Amino acid sequence: MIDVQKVNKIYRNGKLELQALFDIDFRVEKEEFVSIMGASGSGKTTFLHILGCLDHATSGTYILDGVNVSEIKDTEYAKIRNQKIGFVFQAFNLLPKLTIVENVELPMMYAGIKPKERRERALDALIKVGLGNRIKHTPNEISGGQKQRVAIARALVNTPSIILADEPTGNLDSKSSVEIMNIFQGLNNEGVTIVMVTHEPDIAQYTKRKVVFRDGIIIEDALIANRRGV
Amino acid sequence: MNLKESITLGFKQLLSNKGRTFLTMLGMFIGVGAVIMILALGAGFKEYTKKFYSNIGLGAFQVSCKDQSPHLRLTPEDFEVIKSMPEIESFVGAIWESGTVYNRKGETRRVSLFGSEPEYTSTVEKLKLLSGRLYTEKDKEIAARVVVISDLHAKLIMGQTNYKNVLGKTVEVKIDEQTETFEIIGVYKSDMPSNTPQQFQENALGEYPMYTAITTMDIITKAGGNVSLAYGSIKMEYDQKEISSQVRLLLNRRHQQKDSYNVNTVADFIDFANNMLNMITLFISAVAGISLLVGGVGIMNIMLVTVKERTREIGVRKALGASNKVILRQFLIEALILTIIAGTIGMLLGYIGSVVVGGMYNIQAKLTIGMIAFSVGTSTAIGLLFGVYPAYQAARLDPVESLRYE
Repeated sequence: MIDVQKVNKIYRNGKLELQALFDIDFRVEKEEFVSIMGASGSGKTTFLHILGCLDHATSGTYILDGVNVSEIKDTEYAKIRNQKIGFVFQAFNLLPKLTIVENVELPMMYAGIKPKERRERALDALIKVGLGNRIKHTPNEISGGQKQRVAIARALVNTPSIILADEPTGNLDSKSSVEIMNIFQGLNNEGVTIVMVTHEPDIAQYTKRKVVFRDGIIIEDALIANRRGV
Repeated sequence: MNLKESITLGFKQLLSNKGRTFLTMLGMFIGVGAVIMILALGAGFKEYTKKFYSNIGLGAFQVSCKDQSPHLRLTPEDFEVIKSMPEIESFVGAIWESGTVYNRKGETRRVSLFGSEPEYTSTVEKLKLLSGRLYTEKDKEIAARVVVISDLHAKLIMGQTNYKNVLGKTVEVKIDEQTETFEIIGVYKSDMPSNTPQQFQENALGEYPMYTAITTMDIITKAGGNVSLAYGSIKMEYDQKEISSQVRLLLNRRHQQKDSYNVNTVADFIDFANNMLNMITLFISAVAGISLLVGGVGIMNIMLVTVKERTREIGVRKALGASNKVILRQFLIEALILTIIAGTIGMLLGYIGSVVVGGMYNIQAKLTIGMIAFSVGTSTAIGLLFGVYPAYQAARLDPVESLRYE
């Protein structure tokens, strides 16, 4: 599913150079549920951005779903993001002026799917995350936990190869956090591949495998013992 | 995301901030409005002058003295000589004088008296009689104190809308401190629309002369048979400009002058009016052009602010699969909706303005296809010109940084 080899990321700002990632090798198989951990500045978010095709690696290869995306131009990245990746963000990133169902329809809009099919698929995805009845509300009218569910529905709706979540429980209380992790586990059980960045160890316990970054390298990569929520 | 969806989204976006949208459009309302107003009025004015002068006849010309000194005045001999020119169809003298009358409420009103030959009134001016008769050769012979008044005079001075009732009545006109009494023998139709506001009709009273015989005016003004104003017409087969300048040379020679006469043909009048109009149009267009430029910069400024405000939204859209092209198109469409709507409203405002202003001066404003094309074209051009930079700024935003933007 994901095969990353010798990926480096160097930020240049004038004469200053900052290397965020050093020769990262990383593989994710289908139906895995991986948590990426590490202190801030460890390179975990940078790595997630590269996995999400929001950013290019400075060197190395990245093969996603059989496609060598490290050779693809920036202008074509939008299509990869649209078709192969579903994002879930810490700050939800729902568009406040759109209704919930319109937010979920967005990725399909950019995929060129017809309005009728869009609406049907958006409703299906919302039902899947337990939000079938508040579709005409705007994001400001629902709770944080509900917002994150809408975001998950939006991430699912184009049936991507992988869901990438960046601190999905970072803005949520512990009860909502558990709910969100239960939804992720449910999706994973249905065969959805998930990679999630978090800095909370007990949240990582819900996943199947834990990868720890420090100073731009992977220092730990192990299966989770005593998984929570199952 | 197809074009229709982009347009819908653009409208939604603009409607979500109505106040700002309106203010952004304001500069364009003024710019496009001003241009359309002057163009529509100009087109109406050209039509008006054309109709006005075609009533007189394109061969017509007017002779006037450059100053009022008595030795410049045209004598009966001058008339004989000019009339004998083979190119000249007709040539008559005229005396024009202004005076005042009292209307039925006792208020003073300015009027003008125009004395000429019977043939002038019937052939050159082509008066349309509503009742009564025109003055005749016989009236001229005896210098009869008779006048043909306009329907405006009948209505506003005599207080009669049944024009038969004013026939045989007298009107007293004060000219140079002296009061002259005339018998009304006819009423002619003015071209003033009947729905014109009363005040404009009152002000226009002096523009529609009371017609009488030249001999009558000769006695009243003590002109002694000489006149400083004459009208004629040149046979159509001859060159108007050339014959009119021959008349001017002839008069100067006969009065031992170098250049003391104005001989204006209808073609000269039309040229002059059109030149004047073109200059005014150019001037207003230049001012409006500056307004459009300023309006365009305002639009660019607002679009840049919008892009800044929506940085995060752009980041989210990009993360979800919006390509740079789609983002660019989205913002360009927003700018275009803004300018095209503003241009259309500006055009309508300009047209309404031209109809209102034109109504005051009895001119029928005209909106042509060309003007509509101009409005739409200019608006589109401004939208593209000033929208492309903000749209480009939006398109090239880095998704990672935009997602972090607060």
